[in-house]
Amino acid sequence: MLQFSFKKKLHHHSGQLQFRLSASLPANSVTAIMGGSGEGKTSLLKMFAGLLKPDEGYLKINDACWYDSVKKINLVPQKRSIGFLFQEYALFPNMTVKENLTFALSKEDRNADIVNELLEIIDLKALENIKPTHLSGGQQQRVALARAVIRKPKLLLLDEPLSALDNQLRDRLQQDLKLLLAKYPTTVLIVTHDAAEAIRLADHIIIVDEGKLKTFGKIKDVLGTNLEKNGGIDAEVISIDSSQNTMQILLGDSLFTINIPSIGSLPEEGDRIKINADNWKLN
Amino acid sequence: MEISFSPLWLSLKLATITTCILLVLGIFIVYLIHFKLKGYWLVSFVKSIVSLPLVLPPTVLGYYLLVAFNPDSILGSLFEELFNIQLVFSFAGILLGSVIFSLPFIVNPILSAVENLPAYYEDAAYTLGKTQWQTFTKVMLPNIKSSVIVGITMSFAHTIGEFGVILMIGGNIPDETRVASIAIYNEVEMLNYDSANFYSVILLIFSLAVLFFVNFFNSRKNNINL
Repeated sequence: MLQFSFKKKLHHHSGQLQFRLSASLPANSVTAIMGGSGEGKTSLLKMFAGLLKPDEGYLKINDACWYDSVKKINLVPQKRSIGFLFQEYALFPNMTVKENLTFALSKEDRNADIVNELLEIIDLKALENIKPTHLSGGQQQRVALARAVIRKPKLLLLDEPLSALDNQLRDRLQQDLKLLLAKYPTTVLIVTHDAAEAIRLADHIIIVDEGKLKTFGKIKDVLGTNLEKNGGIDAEVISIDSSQNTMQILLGDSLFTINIPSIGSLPEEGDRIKINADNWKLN
Repeated sequence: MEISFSPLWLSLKLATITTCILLVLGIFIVYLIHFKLKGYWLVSFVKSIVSLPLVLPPTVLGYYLLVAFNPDSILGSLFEELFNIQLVFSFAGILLGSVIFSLPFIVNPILSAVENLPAYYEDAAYTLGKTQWQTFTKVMLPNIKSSVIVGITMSFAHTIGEFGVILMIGGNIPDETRVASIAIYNEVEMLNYDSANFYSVILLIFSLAVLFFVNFFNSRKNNINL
């Protein structure tokens, strides 16, 4: 069980933001934290990690207290059992892939088994002696993820893990993350601004708005409700072919051609529309 | 023309020992400033003290060092009692003076490189359980190698070229404090222009070579394969 309550005044590009958030999360759950940019999501992860001190609040994981402003407890990051995947990967350029992983282990734990095991899961055994600057973005991300879990942390913090990757690499990292979590279960917090990323990776969701908790719950309940309220999925009309009675729409990153429905008014190019499925088939 | 090579060897010896001391001291001071004093007003004070030799006339620094190294002063008598070393007009004295005088040439490039490294390297090392010292020595220093090399080169070259402070605290004693820059002054005073010219040409070529190396190294810095 992860329980936390943080209050912190943050400096924001449009002024100050009074950040106030508390929640209790089940052990070994994967929770996505969503919100617009500048909502203090990365600052929140840093507060969990002990890299940023909240003004008030507490942080308890299982029975251990990592931070309590009343009892004046504030464990340094080194004393918290955490893994942190930074948005910029933060792999050390002077070390090879293997050295980046080995460095994360303490001297007594520095056996090759776990390093080799992780290198095999992320499928980078062949590149273990390469420096990170020579790897692609997706490969660096996977090394950074392996490094974040190698110490078997009680809390794994992921800062926008999929945002910089293309679709194919997203699937790959998602698959690696699932394998790693199956092998080393832990409580995970994922910061994201992308609903698809949250749905792909998490089982719970916290939505932050203006630095405060807006919604918290199981991801399917929360995002499902949103979908109902919205009445469909947002898409943009790119072009209309009246002769074929079809139109091209942009849905997420993909372009689709659909039949123009016979009922309702005809959309124009550039219109934003809501799509509801009334027919589907399983491949 | 009879030329003594002693001033050149003495300059080389002084610069080598000074640079070795500065490397250890400089790295320790950077660690202190970045990790232990960050956020305190003391940081500005320490940075100002370290950079003082850059703006202070060498004669002013030399004068204060002369006063401080005097056998009757606390520092002078301490050195004499503990190590049986006289600081004024001795090699030990000009060595100590050079260390103080060349300190900014090693501290400033290393400190500025450390401060320019993205903060996430430091944060990542902490989340992996590493101490500040481990983070500094295993993560930060290896990634700013080129700045450390520039610092070493600049402090070595600066010590070779130092004149004012050495003359003030060391005088002009052959084989003890008469380094190349002092020897040039001495030869000119004695109207031995050939000897003065010999020492000057060597220092000129040396200084040019060092600056060329530093600039060449800086221009390649981003392409260095760490």
